[in-house]
Amino acid sequence: MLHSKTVILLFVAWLLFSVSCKKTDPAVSEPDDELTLVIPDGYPQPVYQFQNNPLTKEGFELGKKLFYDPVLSKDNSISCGSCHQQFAAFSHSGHKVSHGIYGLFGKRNAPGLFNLIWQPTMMWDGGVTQLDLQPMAPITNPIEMDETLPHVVAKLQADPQYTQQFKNVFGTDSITSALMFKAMAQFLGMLNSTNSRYDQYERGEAVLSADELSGLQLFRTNCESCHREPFFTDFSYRNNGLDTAFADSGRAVITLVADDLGKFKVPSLRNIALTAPYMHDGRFETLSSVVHHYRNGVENSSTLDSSLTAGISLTDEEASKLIDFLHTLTDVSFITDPRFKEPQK
Amino acid sequence: MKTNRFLLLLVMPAMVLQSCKKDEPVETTAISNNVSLVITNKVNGQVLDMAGGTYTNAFGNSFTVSKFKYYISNISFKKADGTQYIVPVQADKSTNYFLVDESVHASKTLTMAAIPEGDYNAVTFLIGIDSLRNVSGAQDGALDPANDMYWDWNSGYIFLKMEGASPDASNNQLTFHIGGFQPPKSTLRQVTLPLSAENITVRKNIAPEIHLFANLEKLFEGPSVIDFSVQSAALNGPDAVRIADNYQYMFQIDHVHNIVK
Repeated sequence: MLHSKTVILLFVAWLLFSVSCKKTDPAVSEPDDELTLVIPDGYPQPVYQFQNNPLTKEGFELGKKLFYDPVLSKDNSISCGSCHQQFAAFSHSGHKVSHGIYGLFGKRNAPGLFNLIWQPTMMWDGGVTQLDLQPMAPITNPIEMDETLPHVVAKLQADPQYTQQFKNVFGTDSITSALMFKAMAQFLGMLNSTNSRYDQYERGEAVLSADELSGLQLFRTNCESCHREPFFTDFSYRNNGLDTAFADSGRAVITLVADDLGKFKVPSLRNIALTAPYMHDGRFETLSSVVHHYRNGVENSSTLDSSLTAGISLTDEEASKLIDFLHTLTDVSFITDPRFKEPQK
Repeated sequence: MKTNRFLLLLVMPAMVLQSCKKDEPVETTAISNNVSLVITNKVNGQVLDMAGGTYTNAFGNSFTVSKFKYYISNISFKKADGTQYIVPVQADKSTNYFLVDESVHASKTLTMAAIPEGDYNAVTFLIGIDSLRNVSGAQDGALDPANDMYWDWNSGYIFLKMEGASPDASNNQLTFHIGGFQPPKSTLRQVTLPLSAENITVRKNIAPEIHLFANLEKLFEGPSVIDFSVQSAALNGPDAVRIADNYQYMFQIDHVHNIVK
């Protein structure tokens, strides 16, 4: 009898011992199953390392709130979502370049935001090499949001809702720029578009029309060398023959190398039907004008990509089929995903 | 038996307490103490005065200074036997990364804790931030991008900022923001300063101070004499590398203190 009591006591002691060894701060949220990052079959491992920024539902929600909150701009007028709209695959629909703060115009076309965790660099010139710090560029750019990081952090710190949310996610209500960026990276890193009709076709879940399939073949023959599957970009920088002289030096702004003059990052063609207008300066309104450029409009210059010296030869019929195929890269589930919608105030 | 159970009840809370301890390194008896670098920013031998000082560079341009900030990182100390003690970086703190800002008095004393007992005859450090920390995402402390020493458009830290005015400069302004960690245009420079006059002697009761001068005029002389009418700004690239080749000679040991406390 006494013996069994001792055993029970020992068991209780062991329980206490094991419980008390847990390191996890109860205030810090546990990774949430609803938000597991799924890497589709055939995709490489992401460049972005979530193990340095553990993904949680609360962290994602905080990042989303920041993304849609104009508090990130100097006069509280513009949010990230102002120029990155979900229905346009997080590009800025119908804008060659975006309006920033005070009605000022930007210099380059706002790209769609998706599959960012696989991108080795961000921006048309590849100047930003880390997803964590990407939002700093628009936040501090005088013609975009014109804010300073200390001021943004102070505004967040003064908002009890934010301090509570930061505490829930990171276990501290002392907000820093690093924590803000980590929360935003959790939202941005979940914006993944891998479920277009093309993807469903590749997985054997959908069929493409005869014209779309011909377009796919034409794509693979003529475009794949730069717009490589599955991301529909090889992440390289190329001059695709827009100009003979360069109003925007492009990649050379970063590398300071003359060979990079007029080169820009090859954009993904995923969701391309949703992200007009096209090119770094938004000069083409339609996909047919883009295809027309490659067929008849390539301008020669010293840095022109060697694959384009003769342009791309396509008949009108082929051009039309190619465009049919490009429409299969639209990911309806991505642009309607309720998880990514602007939260109700 | 009763005593046994009583003992067990005593032991239980002890076990719980014990088990709460983190896996910290076992307390060693090794003796160590703080070492501080105490920096005075100077121009042409005068203590830098951003409120009213007017100076002349080696080319002969007159100038004033309104901002002077730079990173010092990866500090190590050399023992007389040639071995090197590298100040470790704590996982959660930037303890071997310091942002020196002329306008923030406290930033000019760089204190490193737990330097092992011994005699050291040289200090080595980087002007700037090593490449790894340039690509380590959002960071805190000295490396917080909110410190206005990070390029958002071209990811990486600005290693040194000197701003001021000169009547010889275009627009009258001097804007030297020096950065870039990728060779061949890296502006990261390693500096080794021998403590020739007197070693520092870290003891249980001695926390040495190394007093240094940072001679701002060296930015504009040495390998390249800078004429502000030709170059009054620099960011990254060859113009910045020229300044970095100069600033590697900016620091000078003044004296050390080995005061018994």
